[in-house]
Amino acid sequence: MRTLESQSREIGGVKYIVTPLTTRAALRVMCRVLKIAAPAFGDVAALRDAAAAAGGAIGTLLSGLVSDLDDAALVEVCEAFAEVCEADLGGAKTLPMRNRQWEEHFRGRLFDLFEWVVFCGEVTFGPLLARLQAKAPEPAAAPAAG
Amino acid sequence: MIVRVPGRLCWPVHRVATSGHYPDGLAVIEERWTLAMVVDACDVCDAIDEARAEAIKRAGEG
Repeated sequence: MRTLESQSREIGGVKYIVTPLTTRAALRVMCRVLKIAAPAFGDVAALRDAAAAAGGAIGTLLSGLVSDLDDAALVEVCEAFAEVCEADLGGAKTLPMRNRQWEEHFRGRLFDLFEWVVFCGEVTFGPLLARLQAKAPEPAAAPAAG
Repeated sequence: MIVRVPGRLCWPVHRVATSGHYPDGLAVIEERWTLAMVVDACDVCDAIDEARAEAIKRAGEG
């Protein structure tokens, strides 16, 4: 199993270390952000369309969150990203954001919260978008003998 | 052969899980893989399937 590559970014003086969401969690977030009732991704092309839409939504999340996402959806997205994020507060250990730690951590720091959500979205959907937007390579595998 | 997959399923995930090319099953893929990894794996599955189909076609012609 490949190790998931984490990315880090400093937001509001705190360094956040984020790994991509798992497939199941990413699909759930995409459905929530895109308001899709079911993961109707019949093939990679449909996934490409959905990822492009999700990427756009995440890119404009700061404005989109307030107008497009209801409170429950926003909380659900935050909880999903909290599962894959730890904060480096400069101590010996990092602070996991899961188990609702993110709520206390971002108290009074709403703008930092939005920036954190956008960053988490970039970590998961950025590489996905890059792959989906890349031209599909021609099959390089030679026909099997026999 | 035509395989009809229910629309409620995320086919790329099931495609990789049922391909036999990877040791991980559906649960592991959903819980450990990222969507980007699934998309990469789908491309590999497509390439292998096309190569196999071409090989079968050539064998039939020969």
